[in-house]
Amino acid sequence: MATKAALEAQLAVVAGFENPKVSLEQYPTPPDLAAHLVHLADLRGDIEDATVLDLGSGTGMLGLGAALRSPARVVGVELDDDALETATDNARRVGASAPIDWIRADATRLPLCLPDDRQVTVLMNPPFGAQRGNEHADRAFLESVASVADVSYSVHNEGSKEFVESFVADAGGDLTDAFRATFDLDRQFDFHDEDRRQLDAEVFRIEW
Amino acid sequence: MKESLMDILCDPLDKSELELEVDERDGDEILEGRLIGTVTGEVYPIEDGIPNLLPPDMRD
Repeated sequence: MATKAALEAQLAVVAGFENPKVSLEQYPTPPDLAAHLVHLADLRGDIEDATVLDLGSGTGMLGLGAALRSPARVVGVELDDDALETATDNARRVGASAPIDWIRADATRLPLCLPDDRQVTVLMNPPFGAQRGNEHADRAFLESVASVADVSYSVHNEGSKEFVESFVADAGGDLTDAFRATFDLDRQFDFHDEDRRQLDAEVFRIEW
Repeated sequence: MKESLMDILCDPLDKSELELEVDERDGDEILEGRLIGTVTGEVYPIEDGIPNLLPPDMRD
């Protein structure tokens, strides 16, 4: 297995959102966080030969990270067609050998029927539900994950652990790992006052 | 999209099967065409290699 640092370097070419949309909470996933998450998933045996789904894939960072390891296939699901266009360009740039497909769809109304004979691993950095009208967006994503995944890795905003733990327990799943991550975000929306700011996030591995 | 993606795609409305119609392909990549719900009759376009499987009420 290649190192996490090598993965991060390969993901450095992945472009973010050209015109980020506030309503979709389009924050780019930083390459170091993506590399960390994918490397951990690979070490846990959740990438190799698995069907990897990136839900709310944006410009493709997590899915492309997985595609640089040895999954059976990677599928990115994204609502926004501009982001998908960037994702297909990013796939070309990254040059991963695993098969990658992009689907324009609502991650909470998935057009997927996955056979039972192969592990399904979901990687996602869903909208946190921080914007008005979008509250509980991460809950809707988790409901979708519960219906398709064997294992998932998801990024949530700080302070989500209690909510995620209780959701997972109700769904009969098992939250096996939790760690903190810090995003360095460039200023991209008018309501951001500083040029750069840090966002604390939490990452969870869940067996469903 | 790769033709093999058909193995895991289904209709977002009722999870029923989809039928593939191809207008343009490049090897096993489907570039242009459509997916048709065998039960719902809904037509989902494939443009620039990306299938648009948004439910009809969410399209632009």
